[in-house]
Amino acid sequence: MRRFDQELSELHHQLIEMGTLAESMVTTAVKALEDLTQDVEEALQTSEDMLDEMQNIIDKEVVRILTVYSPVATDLRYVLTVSHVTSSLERIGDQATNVIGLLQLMMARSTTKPEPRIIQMGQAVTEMLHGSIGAYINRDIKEAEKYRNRDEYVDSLNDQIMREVLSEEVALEALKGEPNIAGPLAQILIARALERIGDQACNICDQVPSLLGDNH
Amino acid sequence: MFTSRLFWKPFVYFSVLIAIVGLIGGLTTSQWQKEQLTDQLQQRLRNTAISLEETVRKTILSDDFQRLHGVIKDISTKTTTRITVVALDGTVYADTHEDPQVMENHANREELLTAISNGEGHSLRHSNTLNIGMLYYAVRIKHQEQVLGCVRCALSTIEINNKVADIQSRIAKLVIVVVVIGLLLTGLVVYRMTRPVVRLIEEARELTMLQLGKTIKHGFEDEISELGRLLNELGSALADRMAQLEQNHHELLTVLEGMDEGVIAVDEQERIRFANEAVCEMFDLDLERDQGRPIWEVIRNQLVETIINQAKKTSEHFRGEMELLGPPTRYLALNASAIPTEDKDESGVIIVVHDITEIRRLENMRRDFVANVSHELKTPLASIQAYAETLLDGALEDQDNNLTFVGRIVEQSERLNLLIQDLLSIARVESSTQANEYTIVNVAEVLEKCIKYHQPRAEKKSTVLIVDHPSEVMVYAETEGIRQILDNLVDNAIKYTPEGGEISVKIAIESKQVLIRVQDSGIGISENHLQRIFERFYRVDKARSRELGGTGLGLSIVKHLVNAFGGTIDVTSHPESGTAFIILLPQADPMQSASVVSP
Repeated sequence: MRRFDQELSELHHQLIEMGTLAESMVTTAVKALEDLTQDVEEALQTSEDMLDEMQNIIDKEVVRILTVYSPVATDLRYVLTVSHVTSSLERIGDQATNVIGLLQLMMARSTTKPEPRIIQMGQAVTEMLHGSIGAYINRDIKEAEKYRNRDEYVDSLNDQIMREVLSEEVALEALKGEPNIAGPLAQILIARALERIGDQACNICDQVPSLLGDNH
Repeated sequence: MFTSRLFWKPFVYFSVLIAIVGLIGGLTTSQWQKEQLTDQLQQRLRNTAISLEETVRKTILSDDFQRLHGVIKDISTKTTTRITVVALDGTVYADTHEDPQVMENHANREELLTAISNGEGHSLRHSNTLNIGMLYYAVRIKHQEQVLGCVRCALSTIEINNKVADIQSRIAKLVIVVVVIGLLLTGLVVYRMTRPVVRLIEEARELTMLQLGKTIKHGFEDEISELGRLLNELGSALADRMAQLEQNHHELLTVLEGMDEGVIAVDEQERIRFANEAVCEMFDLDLERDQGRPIWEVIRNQLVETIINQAKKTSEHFRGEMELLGPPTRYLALNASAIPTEDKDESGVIIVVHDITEIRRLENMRRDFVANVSHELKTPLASIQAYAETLLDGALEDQDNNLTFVGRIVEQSERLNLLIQDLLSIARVESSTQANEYTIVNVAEVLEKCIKYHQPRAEKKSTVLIVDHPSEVMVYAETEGIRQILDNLVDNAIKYTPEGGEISVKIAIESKQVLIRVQDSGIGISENHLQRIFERFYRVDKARSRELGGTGLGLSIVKHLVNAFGGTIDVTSHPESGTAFIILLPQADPMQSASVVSP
């Protein structure tokens, strides 16, 4: 193997490792929503730091490969998409940490439990992220299209949650200054964080056509 | 054949050799022929000159040059020879081809000088007189020790050259013919020698491409044919080994594919070398697509990555457990170990994956069971203790309540007893089937007794009991077991059917199978509970069940007993229309009661 190919393969490996980490963070967060586990925040924070570190390393590597080897065609397209994907993954990690933070707040401030639709959302987003990373790695434009379309479902769930949780009573309670709205607010914010994870998964899907070039 | 270096090399060497030999031979022969010819002509010229010696002497002595000229002219015409007579001082007396008057002095001519001093002389040189190349031969003419002059005969070299050219062309033709024949023969010989070798090479090449079935044909018995035979032997030995390897490989593959455990092998660069069906199913792999791809690209899991790296680094076994998100969620235990290789630095890894979801579930069940048993035993015990303490604390004297308290204690101890009996019967059924106590049981008879026992309770709830069965339904089982099955089911049906409901118990025989169907019109069981109602202490509605006096073990006992009797139990339920338990037991043939084997 040429040195360039070797370094490209190493980059690919690092990117997938980062993807796997981000995926596991989302899985952990969604599982915590389901089981109401308490002790994952610290682990997630460590993963988040690792994710940031990985993003740094990969982005530096991308610049180095671009300057040292000036890759062309497929290789160039690939290297250019890598930075996009790392930034998406990093944001996904942020949102997963957010979800856990919000869940802790919700459990501390109220007796509300995440409603079933949030868990549905979480599962949909987990699946979407896994599929998107898979589509990116396999350069499968059909799969990318498929998982990109899941975002509509996630968005509609988010809208439903927004509408229903922020019902009139809740609004009234908020107006009266009752402290009891922590639960509904946390629900809304968790839903939004999950929705953003979905958006970032879409961004990863959107890199697939760039990988294949314009004639596809 | 004609691209073979083996052919061309010796052929070219031999050809060059033949050509050189032919050339040298040709040249030497033609040179020799030329010398031979020149010698012959010289001899002829000498003979002519010597034969003229006498005549010339006489004419010189007599000064009759007119006659001399006539004589030499005559001979010259006959022999195509030029004849010149020259005086000692070089003056030309007569010449056959030129007028002697105009001819220059010949004293400096080489052949004449030699002839005057030695008697005879010859030379091959250009004639100034005739302006052509000539071969000269001169003979000294003496008269009584006095040299008179010389007679010189000459021949044009054109003639000689023509003759030499003729001979040379013949020799050249001969050489060409010999060389061509030589080349053809060489080609043939070399071809015959190299052809078997070339064929051997071609067939050995096929051997390396593993077309092992082929055998090499060989012609004459020589070293090459011996080599061919050895190659054949090698080929067939290789074919045997290959077949053996193929078979081993096939066997191994069958074993691996047949395993419930997943097996996946990766090489030193973590590319997937092999994955069996079980593992493909677990991780949703497509071997055709994913073989040769790095495992971190296909199975994106941190644990897998970690244990592969650890196994690679330390060449030890590594174990890990992971959760595979579903649905349904599965728990997998991974065992990774390095594949030992000659090269210690780099080694592949083989991972064996066990699906431990079921084990996990059973572990949970066992844990729950212990907790449940403790809880179930504690509840009546706590009541007994409370009532007894109350009595001790003075309630014994309380005439109004003391009997009620004692009654409660008895009630609770009965409940405790019931629970312990149920636990014991479960333990008994689980630990052994006790086939030796099996007899032919008439289920109809047992059912009648059971109905008689439950009738008063049903009447109290104004529940209608519909019973329908043939008079003789024989199964090979334990009477007590059958009684427990029917008792539990009928008891449950009465408990969970509201007042004015209807319960039907039907027994039928369908294709050698005894079908017992207990149908109630009760509250039904919702779908998500149906899967679990046979678990120990599983209760659909905890509060209600205990209130109705259940131990939570009834259906569990029923299921174990039915299984022990070689039957199956199934349940269907709708919240509105009630629940139906359907039991299938193998029918016993009363005629063969003695020889019936345990189910």
